[in-house]
Amino acid sequence: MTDPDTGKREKFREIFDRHKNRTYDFALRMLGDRDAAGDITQEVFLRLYRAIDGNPEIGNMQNWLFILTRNLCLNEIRDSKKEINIDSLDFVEAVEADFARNDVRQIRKAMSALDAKYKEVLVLREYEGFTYSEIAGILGITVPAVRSLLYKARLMLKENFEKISIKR
Amino acid sequence: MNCEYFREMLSARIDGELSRDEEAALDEHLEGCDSCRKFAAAMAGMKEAAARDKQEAMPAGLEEKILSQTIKASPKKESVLGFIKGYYRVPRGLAWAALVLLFILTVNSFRGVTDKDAGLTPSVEVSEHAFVIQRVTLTQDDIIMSKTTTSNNESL
Ligand SMILES: [Zn+2]
Repeated sequence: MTDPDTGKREKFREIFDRHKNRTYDFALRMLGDRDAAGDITQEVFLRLYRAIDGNPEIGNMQNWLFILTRNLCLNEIRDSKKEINIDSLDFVEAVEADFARNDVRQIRKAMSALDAKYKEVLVLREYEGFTYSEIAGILGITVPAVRSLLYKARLMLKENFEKISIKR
Repeated sequence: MNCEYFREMLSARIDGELSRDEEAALDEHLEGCDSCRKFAAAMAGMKEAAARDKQEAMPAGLEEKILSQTIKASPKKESVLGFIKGYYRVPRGLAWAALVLLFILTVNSFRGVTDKDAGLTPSVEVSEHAFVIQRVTLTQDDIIMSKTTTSNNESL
């Protein structure tokens, strides 16, 4: 008399505990907004719960989660279409209160001003700690392409970083 | 020398994704290239700043919200009926009839036990009966029906 849902719940809990922070942090850094990041993370895990129902094995769970999170973030960025004013992002502003560190504030500002295609690859690498091969799986590109993209992203980041430190 | 080529290597080295051969070639270039050494220092500075900017944990409120909509959500009302429909493909009315019949049979077998073994019934056996009844009655009027069962149980 085992409850057929028990296995599903246990599996969900395991994946949720392992990935909740990374998924949330990824969305937060992509969007610079806690509410939007929260909505997207919630949507991702609700979809995961429904997906576990139909397919006990969704292949590479980590890829599945981050591909979905990324797509929802890119949709959100495309749909909101608002000009991002890097000086008014609450996530960037929060640094002073939370960390009181200028270089951290500076790197957040520099990151938030990046194009989404550079931002995502840097966030996955620097903040979520994925390897090149894992990033390749999430972004659907080759490992050499990840390496080249990260280099370009860092060039752009360096440019932003220096602009901000001159302004300061 | 093509500095771009080595700067891409620098970026990969920061990530620990450089092969041993590439490491050697890069070091050789850095020895003779002031501009790339400066670039390397700037990269390292940004990497350090990013490392201090710690990953933000999912807020507790959000976590609770997600769990309450998934694994902590109350089971669907039609779960037992759904099970019967899904696996045996019987019409809804027939499924209900089967449940009612099962309920009657179970209650009757319960009475049998009561008459024969009053006072002597091992608690294990009683709780097994109670378990069966609860599973059946849960699909109907959850709380009221299972209360009835419990009080039957206690009167044994
Ligand atoms: Zn050089």
